[in-house]
Amino acid sequence: MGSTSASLTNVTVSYGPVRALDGFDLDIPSRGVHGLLGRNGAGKTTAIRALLGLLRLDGGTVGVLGADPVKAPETRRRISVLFSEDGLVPALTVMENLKVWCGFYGCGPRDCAELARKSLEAFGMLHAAQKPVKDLSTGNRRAVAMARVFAVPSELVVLDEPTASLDPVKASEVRAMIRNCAGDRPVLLSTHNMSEAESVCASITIVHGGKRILHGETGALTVSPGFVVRTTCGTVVHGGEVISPGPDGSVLLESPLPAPELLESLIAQGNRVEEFGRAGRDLEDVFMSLAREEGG
Amino acid sequence: MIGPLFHREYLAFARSLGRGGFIRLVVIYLGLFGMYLPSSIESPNLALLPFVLFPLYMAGPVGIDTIAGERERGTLETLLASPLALADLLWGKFLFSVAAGSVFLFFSLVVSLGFRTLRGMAVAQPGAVLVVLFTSLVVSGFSAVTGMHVSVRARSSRAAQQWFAALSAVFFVATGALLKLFADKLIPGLKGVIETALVNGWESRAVILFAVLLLAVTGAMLLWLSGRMRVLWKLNSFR
Repeated sequence: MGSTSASLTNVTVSYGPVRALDGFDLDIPSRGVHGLLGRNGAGKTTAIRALLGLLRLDGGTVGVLGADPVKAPETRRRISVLFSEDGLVPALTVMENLKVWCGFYGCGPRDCAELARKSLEAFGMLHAAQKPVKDLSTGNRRAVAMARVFAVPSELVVLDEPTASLDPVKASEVRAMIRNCAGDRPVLLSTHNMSEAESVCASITIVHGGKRILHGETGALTVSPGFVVRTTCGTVVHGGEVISPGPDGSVLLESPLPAPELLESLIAQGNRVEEFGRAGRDLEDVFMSLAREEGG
Repeated sequence: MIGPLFHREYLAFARSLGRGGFIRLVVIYLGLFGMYLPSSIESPNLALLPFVLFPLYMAGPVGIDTIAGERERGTLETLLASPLALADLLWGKFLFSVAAGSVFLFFSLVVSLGFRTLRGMAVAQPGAVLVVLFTSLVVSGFSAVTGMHVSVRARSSRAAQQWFAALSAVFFVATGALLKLFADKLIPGLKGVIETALVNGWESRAVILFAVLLLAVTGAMLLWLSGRMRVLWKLNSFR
């Protein structure tokens, strides 16, 4: 998947007797949105805390932008994070929240105001700049929290379930914001929403029971080894067998042959092919089959 | 890095109070400590006593809110994940708690001196006022660090407030009882010196010694708190 901006290698973390991460590996590419997927309690937030150097590790190593955040806490200046709780101070105005956050990253008062204004504009929240955060709706709070995260000149953005508790319309808007803002720096998106990951993430890691069970580029992972074939008569003759179509009128074939060769072979066997292509499967199918294999 | 955090704490405190709340606080403080108490106590040195005792109840609750309150509002983890070092976090919150707990009393002290002068009452010597200011600041620091200690492990802000109230009562009663029982045994004539300090002069060595001792205790508690926060952080249970 190319060069990495941050990684966890063989990381183990325990909360008392509970092992939250168990030899977990994570590689965040230096570009695009990387999804960290898993069920509730799978270890996603713990992985994020480990990445930020906020935890004592029982084993393994963390590397963020070429440094170890545990030994060098100043690395956090290069990361901006949004946890599932937005972290905004309710009594402060939207603008004050962003300016204070920029101040933590060493920006001067004028720079803070300018960065905050630009980010609020990008997230469509400039109109609410002088409103106290406590007066905002849940969706608008989340948009402001996103603006806070992207306002600072960080080199890595970490988002922990940013669309949790949002209605479908707001969630869709937030996804669009992530896609738009991910162009200039890598983003780690933790979520248990598979369709969200599929629509936003260029690559993913699936964590289950504190272990990485799958990682790769989203497009490659959602491509099925099978092919969809539709013929004029419905049935498909393949390898001497006559295969009946499914309810949608197509036949799903699994074959090790490359697509052009399989199509040639089907035509040679007398099939009048109307439609031929790779079968798709969504990330949810991938996740569910893995969860079943892992006993989840 | 303490500056931005101090500024954030100030903004949150001021916005939470609101203009009405701020005016009510000023009226209560200036009315009670700036006018009523100074005019009802004849001795100028005794009239300074509230400014030493009451900071105990001012800075502690602010200190509790900066940790337990922050945790309840779900903002502490974000702060921990920010570029702020743990030491910056501790010092920023401690200094703000001390400042917030002291500022109203300081204004009240100035008002009380002016009020007594206007009414033609005797005013304490400048040296005594300085010692009281110093002692008041130290008591504020002690109160703030106690509040922060309590809130680091308390399950909620309310639980922390209850613990703090109980500890404050113990502090008052125990200090009084210990002085009454052992003052003269520890340092011959100490009881007499304290009584004299209240009546005749805050610049007495006993008062300054008390303030310095309390300052040392506060410093030790700050170090302890810093270590405790580090340990809790390493045990993955400080957030």
